[in-house]
Amino acid sequence: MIRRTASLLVLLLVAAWTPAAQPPVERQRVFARLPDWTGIWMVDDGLWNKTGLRNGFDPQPGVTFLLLKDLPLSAAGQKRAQAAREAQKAKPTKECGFYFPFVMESPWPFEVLSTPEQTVFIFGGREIRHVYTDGRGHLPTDEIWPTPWGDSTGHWEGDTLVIETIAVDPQLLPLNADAHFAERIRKIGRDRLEDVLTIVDPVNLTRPFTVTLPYKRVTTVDRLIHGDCMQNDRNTVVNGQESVAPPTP
Amino acid sequence: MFETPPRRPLLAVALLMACAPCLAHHSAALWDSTKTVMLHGTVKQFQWTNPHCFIQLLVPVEAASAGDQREQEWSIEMASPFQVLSGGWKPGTLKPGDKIEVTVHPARDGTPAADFISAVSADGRALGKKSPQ
Repeated sequence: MIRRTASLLVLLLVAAWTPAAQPPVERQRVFARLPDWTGIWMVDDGLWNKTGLRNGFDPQPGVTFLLLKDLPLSAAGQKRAQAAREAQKAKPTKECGFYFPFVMESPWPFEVLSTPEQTVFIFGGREIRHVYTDGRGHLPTDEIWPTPWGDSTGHWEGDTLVIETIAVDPQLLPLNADAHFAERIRKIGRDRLEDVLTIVDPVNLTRPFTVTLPYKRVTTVDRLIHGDCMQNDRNTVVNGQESVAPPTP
Repeated sequence: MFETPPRRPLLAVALLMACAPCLAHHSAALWDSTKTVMLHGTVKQFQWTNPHCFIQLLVPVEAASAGDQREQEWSIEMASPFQVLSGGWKPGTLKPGDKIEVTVHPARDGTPAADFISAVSADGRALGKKSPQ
């Protein structure tokens, strides 16, 4: 009897801990209602060279990130941007991948996998965004810290994925780590997705900033083949300057 | 809650733009995008590697005297293999000994390194596809 009661108690506890755990049939119904975003997608912002051949980190002249184009920086935000620029001058930095929110406007193709519990964005540079949609909230304040991709939760409003992201490590962006990012991602055509992204940072921005990031379906490849920075990194920093190392014999 | 708009927002955005490319593997400052150079040479090696593909190209150096056959080896950087594949290239697109003509932005530091723009084969055929999307 005691063992049975204990087992029941454990079951109840597990059920209580599992966020929005659903019976299998209901889970299948939720699964079936999710929109179909299968395929490979890539940002279509005019920034990255369309041939895919050039160094993807060499934007076309006169074109900049949509994320930065009209960013309404406050005086404090300008000061942060200036400091970041000086830091970059003093010490050239190399990164391996794109952080949020820039990952949403990176030259990497990406796939989107949706389940009833979460939607996962997987980028060609091996960046991964988990967006939990099962009702779990953000991590408690004493268990969360800024990371390059932050903590994302979301829910579906029809076929629109609504995401809230917090705790983003701003890196070189002139934003505070407590900035809020709200996104509404939806399919707007057979081969088009869009992300309406709003950034709220009352310290560094003069007002909430909203930008629409367009994506198009990639048709030249049928799978992601990931990049990395380990295999043959020839971009060395010599005397504070970026350079290209000779090939290894 | 929000501050009054700054007087010089354009300056701020310009500052920010300088920082943006370094959020990737390396910044675009490595290349002199104001210069475009055409290199004629022979492929020594085609490195189909991450984070960048490279064409090692042997380019004849201007002869100091008749019979002087010196060559300079250039490292021409492309995007990552997946991006280059998306652009219509394959690991076997270039082979050692192939004669090609490559258009590049040279490195700012004057070393024989460059950023790939486009390439054609010896018979004038464009390598890769013009518009893969």
